Amino acid sequence: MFKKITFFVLLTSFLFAQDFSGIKIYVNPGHGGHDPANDRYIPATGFWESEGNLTKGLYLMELLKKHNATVFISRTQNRDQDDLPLSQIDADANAKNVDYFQSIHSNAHNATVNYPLVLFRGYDNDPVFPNAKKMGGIIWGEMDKLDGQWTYWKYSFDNVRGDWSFYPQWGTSGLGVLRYLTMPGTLTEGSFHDYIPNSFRLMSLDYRRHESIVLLRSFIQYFGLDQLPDGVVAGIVRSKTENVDYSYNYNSGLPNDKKKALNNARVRLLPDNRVYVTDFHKNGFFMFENVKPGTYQVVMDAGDYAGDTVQVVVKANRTSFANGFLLKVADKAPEVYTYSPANNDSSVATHSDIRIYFSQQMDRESTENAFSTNPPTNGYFSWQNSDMTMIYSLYDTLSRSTEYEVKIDSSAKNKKGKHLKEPYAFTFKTSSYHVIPRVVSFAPAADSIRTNSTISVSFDAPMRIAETEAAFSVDPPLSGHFEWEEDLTGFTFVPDSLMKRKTLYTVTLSDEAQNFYGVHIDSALQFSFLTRYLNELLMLKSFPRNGQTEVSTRLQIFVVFSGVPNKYTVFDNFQISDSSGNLISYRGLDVFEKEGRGVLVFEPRQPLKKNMRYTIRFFPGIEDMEKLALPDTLTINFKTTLEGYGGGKVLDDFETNFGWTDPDNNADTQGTNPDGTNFDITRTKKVNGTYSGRLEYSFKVDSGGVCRLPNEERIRIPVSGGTNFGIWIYGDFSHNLLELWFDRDNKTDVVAFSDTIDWAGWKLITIPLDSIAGSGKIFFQSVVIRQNKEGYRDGAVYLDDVQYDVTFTDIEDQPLTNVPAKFLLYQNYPNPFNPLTTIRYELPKTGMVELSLFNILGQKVKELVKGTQTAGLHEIKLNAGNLASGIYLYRLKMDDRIQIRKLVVLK
Amino acid sequence: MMKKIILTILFSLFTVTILLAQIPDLKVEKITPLTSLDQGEFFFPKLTPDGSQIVFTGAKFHGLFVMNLESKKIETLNQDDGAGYEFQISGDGKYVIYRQFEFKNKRKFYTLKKQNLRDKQVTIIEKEVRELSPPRLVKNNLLYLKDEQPVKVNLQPALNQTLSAGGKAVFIKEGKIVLIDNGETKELAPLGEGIYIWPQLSPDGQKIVFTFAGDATYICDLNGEILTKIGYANAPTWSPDGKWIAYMVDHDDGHFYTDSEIFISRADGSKKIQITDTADIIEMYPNWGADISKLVFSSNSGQIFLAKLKQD
Repeated sequence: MFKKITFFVLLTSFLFAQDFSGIKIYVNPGHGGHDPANDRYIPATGFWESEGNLTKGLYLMELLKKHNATVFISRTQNRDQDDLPLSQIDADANAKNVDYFQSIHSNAHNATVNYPLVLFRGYDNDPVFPNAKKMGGIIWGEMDKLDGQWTYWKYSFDNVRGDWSFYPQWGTSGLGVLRYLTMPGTLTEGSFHDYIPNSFRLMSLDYRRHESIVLLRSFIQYFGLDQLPDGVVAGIVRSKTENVDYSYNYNSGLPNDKKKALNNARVRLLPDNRVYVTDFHKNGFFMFENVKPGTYQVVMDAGDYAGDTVQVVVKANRTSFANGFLLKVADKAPEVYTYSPANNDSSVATHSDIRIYFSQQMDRESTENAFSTNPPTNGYFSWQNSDMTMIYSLYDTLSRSTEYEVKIDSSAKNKKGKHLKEPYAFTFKTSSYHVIPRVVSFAPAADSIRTNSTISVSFDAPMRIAETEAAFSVDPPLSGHFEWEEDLTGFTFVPDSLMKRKTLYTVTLSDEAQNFYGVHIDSALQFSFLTRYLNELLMLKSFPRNGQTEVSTRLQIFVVFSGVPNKYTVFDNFQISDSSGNLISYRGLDVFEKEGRGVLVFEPRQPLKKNMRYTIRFFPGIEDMEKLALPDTLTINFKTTLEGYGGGKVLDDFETNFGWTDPDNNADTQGTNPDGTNFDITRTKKVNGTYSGRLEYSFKVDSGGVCRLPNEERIRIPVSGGTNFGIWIYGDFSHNLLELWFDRDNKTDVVAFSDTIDWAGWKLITIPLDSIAGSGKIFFQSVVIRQNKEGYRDGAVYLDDVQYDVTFTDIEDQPLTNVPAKFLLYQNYPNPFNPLTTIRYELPKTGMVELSLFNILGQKVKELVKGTQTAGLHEIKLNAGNLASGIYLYRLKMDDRIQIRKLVVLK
Repeated sequence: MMKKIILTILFSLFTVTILLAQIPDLKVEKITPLTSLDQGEFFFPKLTPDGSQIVFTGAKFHGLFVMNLESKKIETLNQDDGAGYEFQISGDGKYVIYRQFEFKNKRKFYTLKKQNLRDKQVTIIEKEVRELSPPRLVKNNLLYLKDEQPVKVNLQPALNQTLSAGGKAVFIKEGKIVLIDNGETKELAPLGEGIYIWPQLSPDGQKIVFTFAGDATYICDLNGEILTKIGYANAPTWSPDGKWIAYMVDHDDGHFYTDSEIFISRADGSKKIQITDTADIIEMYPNWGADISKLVFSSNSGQIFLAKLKQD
């Protein structure tokens, strides 16, 4: 009995409650994240549905909370991760035990209609939650009270529909977001965002807010609460005579949409004397909220338009409409429409800008001269909105707790030379304290930093350059210069020279640093960092590694250094040659940073010969960006593959995409960044034809990432044994794991190849078909990159020519040795040159050597070397300072062997 | 009968098993539809602990129904609104515990009920409460949050749970995970501020699987330390041995579900197996029975399915 009484009391208190206390509502701003596949964008107006829905949702939440409701919202931002799956939205609303669920959207159809639509779950006449249909009717009623002002519904019945009836093609599945709710819910499509006049309206934040107010009124009615005591005055200011472009498709049933809506129009609500200026999005929309019931005059005018006045009667809980149609006039005097800080604001921040919004484009000079403050202030001007908005920013803070008067006298002129209609003045008072600037970040914040690093500090406010630079010091001292952010919220100190190695530097920013308005930082900043120990450029690993055999002839040379090599020092200081000393031409030379290391790559212009020894040399002229030099010549000997291959019958040449699908959509793919993970057909690299497939991947996790590139069609291998499968794969030397997956009739996902990607460039991967587990037909179905702990977090492999019936032919082996087996004279580097070049040569044994330079007539012009030298590599610098421009020959002689090469001096 | 056989064959064809390691240890044997759409729309199936029956709900979580897996006969247990939302079956398979909701003056009220599966007799445990969490059966007790405070009820006869989760229970409260451990309440937000959904304790009560909305599904320990990131995996649920997680990978276009498939993943994230692979059926909300070989789920259009798995 007691329980019953309690419940009755509870219920009665609800019936007569003045507010939403105890009521829980879930707001779902539809879509999210600016994903074109899952969001809607109107290029003509710049409208994103995700943004419109979010503004409406946030304001509805604010309004409901203001009336004491408990409100949950599925997103408060518009990032990728805010675009929640529908199942998660329902799970959240269910877990929070809410009483009602409201999903907010806008609609699109054929760009010519514009009406509201309210959807509930179920059939039109058989709602799953009867209360949802009831609420749908209430929302429609509230929207209908707008009386066809901004949307137009030509039928007599309410456009409140059950989703099963409205989307018969979806059966009883209907709208996903209403599918698994444990409470009544509606999805509202307030208006059409593809109908251009309305799309411009949806760009008005207040137009969106008005829809939130309509939803608030609906909730008040639904929960049986007292209606809002105040009303809203809203409308659109348009030109009386000018029409919009035909492309607006304005024949939606709203005749006024044909008329041009006016930007920067002023609307005054009298006698309250509230002022609203329309925005710059071609909608002419204005709104006054919280207007007490009564009769009002709405006075509208605009820069070059005569005024129009409409009388409105404001009723509680309703919107009253006032549409203005203004006549264009000539020679109207400019006026001040509005300004900030607001008149009589008594807590204005001491660094606030002063903004004046004019009715017309103003002449800058006369307007700036007409501006004054009392007490005087030290500031500067900038202009916006085609010179209709003047911004006065401060050099110094305003005084605290001080009343300021701002004046613009009538000497201010518009662009046509017409003076301001009347002088203008307003006052405000500053707050009793200054906002103190704070350091928000600084760097370097770690040790072992590179000696060419810079020092940076950033703040939460614009700073004064001179005072802040003076407050900055480094110990031990460094000379250098400052580079400031454009908005003066941070600087970078760039030392003139490299810092010392293995040195602890301490940076101090004293509290003399001050913001743009002269307010000092609250306390001094001090931080230290240690520079790194390394003093030479080291090679850490390479492909090919020294002594490696079986290297693909279509390789890329990939060398990892301790620092990033300076490309300009690389050009003249490396070479690749064959076993006869012939230089191999290269392409694609690049240097870049990869996971804190420097990488140098290049590839032979033509495929190398099979079963041949090659040598790559890097010479000590190479330096990294910190000017650390390679200490000695670095030599990498390798031998190309013995095997020849041929006969492959191509199944996929990757000239177009046959069935390869986005790895991100595959369930096995995990730990990847969607932005950096994709597959496309590209012409950057190829074995044959014009294109190849590029699988780009990026792992966001430290380990365990998987990137599976599936082929939906599955490539059927026409035979099931007795021969070899092949695919060209351009490795990225990432040391991640590469897997090739096959299906057979009786077995799926057979991993027939799994190997670390320890090569760079093209390599033909072959698999004997007999080795693929299972029986029956064979299908090649996936390329998988599996993250190795020591592997790179991102990279790209290329795929070309999936084939079968690959056959092999062996070529006779050659011995590989690190000692030069031959008498060799290399091409000089650089060539042509002025004045210095390097000549290198190899000797097979110790003995008497002669290296001389001859002119084109065969006359010896210089003896470079004459004497006994040991076996191995030698080099000599040639200074052509005394030589004329032209072609010369240099000759190496040992015993009876001679080699001659050409060089060019170019002055 | 013929239709059923065809359906079964079709399903076997559609079913794809993805094994990331060379040696598979769970494999789909067969997927069978247990209900047809002619019989009505049914959702959120759960197996009784002995695996002989399936309890499920209707649209809007309306009512509870029980199907005998041998006879395929469906019996109506009740027609209560909301009964199907996170209902619990007792360890002896004799009772279901569920929340019924009703709207009074548009406000939602919950009544907590216990129902005997055989004689369908209903006992009311809590009546018309505004703030009441779904129930959890923990050892011999019933645990739930009433007005956000934990309430423990010792029911007679005792409803022992097969999977006791070590006497603990997890709920969602004010957007966070709440762990009740022997009377102590601990709030967990393992990834900071955000929306936490679908928390579930592992059968041994040592781990929690949960979904962080807009991000991924994770497994954490009882202090909220992340142990595994499963990835995009909705409505996750533990296998009875605690070694696997079953979940759905659903997609939508902002308005409609466009696709969903059931997957299972090792709890350490090392292996994932796709259980369903159909173009025309949107499979959702899996649940494992006490026997690891049986996984039940429903489709978005309201059909109940049973996946038989075998250890390989």
